[in-house]
Amino acid sequence: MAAKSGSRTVIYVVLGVIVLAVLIGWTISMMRSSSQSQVAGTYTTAVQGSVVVAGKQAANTVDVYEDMLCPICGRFEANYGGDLTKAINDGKIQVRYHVVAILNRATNPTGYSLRGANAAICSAEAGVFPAYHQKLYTEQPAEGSAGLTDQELIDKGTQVGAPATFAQCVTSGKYTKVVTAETLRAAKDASLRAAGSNGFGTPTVTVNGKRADLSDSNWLTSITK
Amino acid sequence: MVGTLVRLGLAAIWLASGWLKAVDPDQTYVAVRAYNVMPDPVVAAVAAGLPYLELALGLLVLLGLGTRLVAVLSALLFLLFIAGVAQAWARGLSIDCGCFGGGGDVAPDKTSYGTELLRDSGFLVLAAWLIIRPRTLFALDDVLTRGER
Repeated sequence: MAAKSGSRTVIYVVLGVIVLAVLIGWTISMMRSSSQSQVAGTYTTAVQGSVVVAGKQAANTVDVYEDMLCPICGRFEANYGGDLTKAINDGKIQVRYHVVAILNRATNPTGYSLRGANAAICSAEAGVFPAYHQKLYTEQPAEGSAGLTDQELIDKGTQVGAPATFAQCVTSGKYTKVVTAETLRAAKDASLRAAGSNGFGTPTVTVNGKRADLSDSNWLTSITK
Repeated sequence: MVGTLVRLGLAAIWLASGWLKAVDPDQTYVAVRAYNVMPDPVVAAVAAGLPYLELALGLLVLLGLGTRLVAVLSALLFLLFIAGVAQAWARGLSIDCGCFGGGGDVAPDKTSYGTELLRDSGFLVLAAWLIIRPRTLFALDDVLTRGER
């Protein structure tokens, strides 16, 4: 009898520890994403080459290198997109979005990265970048999928209020050349690489020119508080 | 004696894989999502909980607390991982298992499903050993049941 109640206690302790651990995991995850409430961008944008400059000149400049197909960029936007948008709205930072195309081979047919990057820059020209950029990430296609067609890219633009000229910009691939050039430049820029890494990856973020450590969840709040 | 080594080995596996997943939650999310078997909200819940579940199993088996039960749960989890990798392979996905961090989609010629399955099967054998022979040295189980032998 004693043995039985003893082993039952052990079972309860084991299950208790496991449940507690999972709850801790969920709590940590919820705390990380507490900022992910969607914030509408009210800032203005300008296109410089292939770079979308979001907001006015501010005390801090954040450069974001991302690929529209890259899954971790999708996570980055889910975790920090709202905070970035709010900080730009509030004039605390200016963000320079370098939308690059490093995952062209990861869709079938190939090339969604480049077409998505082109469309994102077109949306800045069309004045709907904040909503469009956010929409392409919340509805991000998976690697290995077909990506989004030009028509789908255009439809999503129309849904966030892009004018008719947006379609022409998307189908003509107006910015594909500068995106390709920027992608090559970024790939060669040693200051964008993680310590000990010999390659460029996305997302890469620099704060005032210095590479930010995204595994430190305070990388942004340390400059916006 | 062998059982003790098996126990410590299993603890090392869980603590390492749990830790590597816990320190890079976004990567873990991407890795879980790449299996393409769950809707995104479920992916988020699994990716958030799994690293800590693994750490808990590692801690328990390290302490030797409820060794047989923990071994059973470990075996179930390994079977689940094996099923996940096998379905990815069968469906022609090209992903990295993300077993010890990393993970996500990779180039079709960069998959290593065979090795991953073999490794997980090896881990399963460790768990099976402890299910059959859970009595090991330096285990809390020993201390707790000492008076009842």
